[in-house]
Amino acid sequence: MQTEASWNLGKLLTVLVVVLTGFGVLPLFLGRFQVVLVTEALILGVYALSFDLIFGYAGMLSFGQSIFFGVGAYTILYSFKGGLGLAVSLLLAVFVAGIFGLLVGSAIVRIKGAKFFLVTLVGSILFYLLALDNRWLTGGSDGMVVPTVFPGLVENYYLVLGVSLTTILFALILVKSPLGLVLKMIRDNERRAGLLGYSLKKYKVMTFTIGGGIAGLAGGLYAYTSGFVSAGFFHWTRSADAVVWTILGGAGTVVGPFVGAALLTVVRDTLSAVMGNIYPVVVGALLVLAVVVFPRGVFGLLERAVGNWKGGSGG
Amino acid sequence: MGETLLEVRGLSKRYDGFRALKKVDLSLQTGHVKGIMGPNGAGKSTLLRLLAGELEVTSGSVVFAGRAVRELSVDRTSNLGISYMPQRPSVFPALTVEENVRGAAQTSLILNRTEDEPSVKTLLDLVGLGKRARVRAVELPFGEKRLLDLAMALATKPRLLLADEPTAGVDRGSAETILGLLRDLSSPDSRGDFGLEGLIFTEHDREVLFEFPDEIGFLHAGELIVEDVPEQVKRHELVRNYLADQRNFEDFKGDGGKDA
Ligand SMILES: Nc1ncnc2c1ncn2[C@@H]1O[C@H](COP(=O)(O)OP(=O)(O)OP(=O)(O)O)[C@@H](O)[C@H]1O
Ligand SMILES: [Mg+2]
Repeated sequence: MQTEASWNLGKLLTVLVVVLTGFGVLPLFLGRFQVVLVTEALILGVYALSFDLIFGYAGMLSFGQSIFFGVGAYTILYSFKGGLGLAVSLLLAVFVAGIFGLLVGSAIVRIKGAKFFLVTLVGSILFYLLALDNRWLTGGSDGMVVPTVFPGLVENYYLVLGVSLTTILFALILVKSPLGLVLKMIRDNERRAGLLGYSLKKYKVMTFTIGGGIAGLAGGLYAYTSGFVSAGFFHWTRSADAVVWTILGGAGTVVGPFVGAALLTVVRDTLSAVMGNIYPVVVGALLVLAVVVFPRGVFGLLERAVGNWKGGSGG
Repeated sequence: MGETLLEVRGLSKRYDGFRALKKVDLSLQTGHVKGIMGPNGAGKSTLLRLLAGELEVTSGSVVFAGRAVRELSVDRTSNLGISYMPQRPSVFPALTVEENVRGAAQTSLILNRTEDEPSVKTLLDLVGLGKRARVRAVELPFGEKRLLDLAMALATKPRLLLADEPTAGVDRGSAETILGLLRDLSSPDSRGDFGLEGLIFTEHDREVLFEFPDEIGFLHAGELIVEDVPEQVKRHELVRNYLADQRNFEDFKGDGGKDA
């Protein structure tokens, strides 16, 4: 046990150094446009991770994640308008979106199965329509410009990288903690988790709160880096994006959602440049492939490949 | 001794229109073991699940250690010290055996109910799954799943354990481990180890049934026909018929039944 733990720590440190160095020097090799693309992929990875906590760990298939993304984005807008700085504004986005997570979670926590999925979908459609209608607040579909001074694309990239790594670290600690174990128990077998004394309601609402806060962080970063917010931030297809990226990348892993988000951001970008609007078709095909061929996602596939290559058992 | 741990009065349960349990009165003294028998569909599981707070009581009262628990949700009931081991294996399939037990054991830690959380290793060794700690629960054979079920039920440090057919369908080796444990943990001299103050279990196998409980209850079509010491219960006419039917059925199967 002892040696294994230290081996794991060694492995973790190696991975950390490689990843940090890799991402650290990345802008040196990329054009301006690609830096923007990677920045976007990282933000969407954070967003997908927020969904993964709710789905991959606590087992709730929610289509409501765009609600919190949108709330975070508009929080940044108004926070900037109110003259607050970036750090405070981002924290505010986490906080406000977390409150929305708490409220939405409390409202829907008792609903189960397919109904849960439908209710959350209807919820995100509702928020979108509200955002569309209340132009005075949101700017409707035309949106609003986020009043901020950009320090520069590469600076933004490093900011987003830092926030992403912090979020990953937080998520890793969370899922390895006793709380993380309870979430996995609820995902695996709700009935027994309840029989063993865990309040399903409490833990589910807690997950929604945390997931809401992280989605708000992603929405805030997105609004800040793109300099623009619109009602479209609430659109339910954005919720669907998080679902697709996470399942494709590997639900129930912390890195999977980033892999999925990065992959599809690049695919979308390349495809739309080459042949217009076949992105949905490709995504559909990839999803089917993901579910049938590698149910643990691209990350699970990579993990297994690395495991085999090391002669280990994978997993 | 002599104190009442559980007191059930007029407990009834309706599923839609169907009356699955009819005005059951039952009590358990601290330190006692009660076996519940009865044909399929008699209401045994319904009774245990009502006591565990998993089902909503239609009418009647349940008092545990002086507290009315009828209105409590299942997690609250569990937190008070009533632990239910369901009739079918109910494990966390994607988690390892060790994680299953750790997850169960940490409830008592989170709740601060006990000073020292039962050690996961102790529990695993107790049920003989020490070597299987890293296996995912989904991969365990049936008997080991039941052993894991029991380890989890005990991990919450219950005062009252409700075990629903703990040995049904289980291989002989695992069944012996399970029964041995139930017997040991509920015997007065080793009770201190886990702090178990009472045990109620359901069972079809009469060998097991008449072996170690202090009292036996016989449920039939939702009614508790008789509840007494084993010697008395054996004499009751309906029980005799039931046991004879069971024996005929086993003879009919031609192999003594159990290890089919
Ligand atoms: N959720 C339910 N909804 C409707 N009827 C139910 C439900 N659960 C049990 N029943 C019915 O209630 C009666 C008692 O069921 P119960 O499971 O308590 O019996 P049991 O004595 O445990 O049987 P077994 O020996 O087969 O486990 C049965 O007729 C069963 O069909
Ligand atoms: Mg039953």
